[in-house]
Amino acid sequence: MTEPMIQVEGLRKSFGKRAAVDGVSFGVPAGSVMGLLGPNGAGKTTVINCLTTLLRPDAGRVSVAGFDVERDPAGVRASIALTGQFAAVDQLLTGRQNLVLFGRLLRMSRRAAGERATELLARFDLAESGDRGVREYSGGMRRRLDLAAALMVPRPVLVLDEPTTGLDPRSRHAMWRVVRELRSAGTTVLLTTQYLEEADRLADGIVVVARGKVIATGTPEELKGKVGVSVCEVRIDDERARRDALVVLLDRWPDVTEGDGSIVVPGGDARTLAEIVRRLTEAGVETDNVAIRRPSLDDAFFALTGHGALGHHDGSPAASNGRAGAGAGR
Amino acid sequence: MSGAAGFAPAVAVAEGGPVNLVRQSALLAGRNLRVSLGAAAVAGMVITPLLFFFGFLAVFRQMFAAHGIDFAQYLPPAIVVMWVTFTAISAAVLFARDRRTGMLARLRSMPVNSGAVVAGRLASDGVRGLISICAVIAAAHVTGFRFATGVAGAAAFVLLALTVLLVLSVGTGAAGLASTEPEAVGATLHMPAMPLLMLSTAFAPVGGFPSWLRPVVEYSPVSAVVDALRAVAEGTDLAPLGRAAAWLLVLLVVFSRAATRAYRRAT
Ligand SMILES: Nc1ncnc2c1ncn2[C@@H]1O[C@H](COP(=O)(O)OP(=O)(O)OP(=O)(O)O)[C@@H](O)[C@H]1O
Ligand SMILES: [Mg+2]
Repeated sequence: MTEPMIQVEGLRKSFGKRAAVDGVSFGVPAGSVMGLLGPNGAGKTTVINCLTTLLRPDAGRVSVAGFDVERDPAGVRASIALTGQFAAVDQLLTGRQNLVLFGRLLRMSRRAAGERATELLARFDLAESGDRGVREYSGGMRRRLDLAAALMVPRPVLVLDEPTTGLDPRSRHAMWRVVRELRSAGTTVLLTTQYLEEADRLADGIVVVARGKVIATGTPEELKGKVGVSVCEVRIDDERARRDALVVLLDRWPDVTEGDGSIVVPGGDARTLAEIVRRLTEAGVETDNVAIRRPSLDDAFFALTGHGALGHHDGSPAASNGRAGAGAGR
Repeated sequence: MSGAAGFAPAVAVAEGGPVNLVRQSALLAGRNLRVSLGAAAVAGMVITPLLFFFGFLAVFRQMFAAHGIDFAQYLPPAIVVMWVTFTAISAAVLFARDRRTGMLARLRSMPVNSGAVVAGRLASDGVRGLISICAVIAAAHVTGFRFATGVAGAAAFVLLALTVLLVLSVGTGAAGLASTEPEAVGATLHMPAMPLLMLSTAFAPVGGFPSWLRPVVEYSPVSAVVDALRAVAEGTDLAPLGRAAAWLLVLLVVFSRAATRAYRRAT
């Protein structure tokens, strides 16, 4: 086995007294897609910034493509392509001018940069808007241009910070397709996301971080396995009724978790299902649907981070939960 | 292992080096100019300083004449220094904007020579400044401003004004790189700029100030620079040039340190 393409060991970074990244370690094998998953403020972007030489780590070792970020940052920069969390393209230039600028900064000739720009604009569905100013672009178009800019010159490592946040389903699928294509061409991809479905679909491996620490690592299957082979899901749209049901079920199964309009009971077999129905009927709680299903990454995520872990961090449980839940796209 | 087959080679790439620096600076300067040389922007670069020039001239010409000073000859260096200061402040705003939009982070994550980002900014500021300086000189010429030393004097004048602009831009650039609030950094820099310009020999000779203010005016770096520009235009006593050069050198050293630091930290 060769050394991992990205190696992070004991990475620490604080802002003032506050540790944004508190001892994170993981490796990304060459040619694979790694998903860095975590709620708001978990430290994902800070990890990415250390990895792309934008921030200097306080402690730990980070290497990319064999280059150490501290000893050989130029080597790292020459090996990576980055699209940050917010689309970093020039608003006052056209889409094409942006791509050509970045290509030429990477030592392409004017002609080669122009040809590559045309190719990428077409690939990202921007052919018609290529000669319009970026300030006229929609958020999704800007995001796609941002990724295109990162791909002007193929690099062995692609780093994407929340690449599909704010994209409509069509653009999101297009983005996933591009990531898969790049992976099959041998690119190593590290992407952060809050969308569990996205990590599930794209990633070969997942690192879950919360509050600057890694709380779980594994393949999507392994993470899902942590909540059991299957689960029982009780859908109750009415919030009051759901609270009542939660009380009843917690009494019997202390590890149930509350998801988005539903309650998930680990261990999905017919007996559990029957018992759930019996208990809820006895308590007089109306349910919309009770079913056995395979656990989703959402379930794993809630189970791993705990009920409130998503929200407590930035004090807006509704917003965070809503975002993570919406990402599942069920 | 480093670099997989089919990808651009990832062997220790020298992003430093003069060739890269020049090429990338030129590309970034081109980008900056493309962004800031729209018709409206150029009009602002030419018209606004001229408005200041003709405004001051109309109001104060008679008064200065009463004291035996030809204001048409006295004023242009002051307008040039004022405008050069404002141009430098706009460099801070543009840097802060690049930082805020993430453009700067992208450049810093690419194998782009670190000097090129700053040099590209300076070069484009220089071009913008040059346009304004020439406009002021041309307008001043119409009203009777003359270089006693002819073309050589004019060239030296422009060169000195550009040097002032670039030195200031390194300092304002540092402020811009340290900020993510374009509007705030602009407003903050404008605050000390006005009193510094007023408490100098830019708009009135030392003798025009109350005696307790005179030391401030005499030792002001703005006075040093304005006096030097006047000396170059008159071509008589070149002593002020030394004082200006000393100031510019000190400022350049301080500002470059600040700018290097700010660039490294700008995520
Ligand atoms: N430049 C900074 N100065 C101070 N604190 C910072 C800075 N950058 C990040 N932080 C803090 O570090 C923590 C981790 O932030 P980070 O941006 O890495 O999280 P994230 O996982 O990317 O979150 P999100 O999903 O919201 O993008 C947060 O508490 C944040 O407030
Ligand atoms: Mg982030």
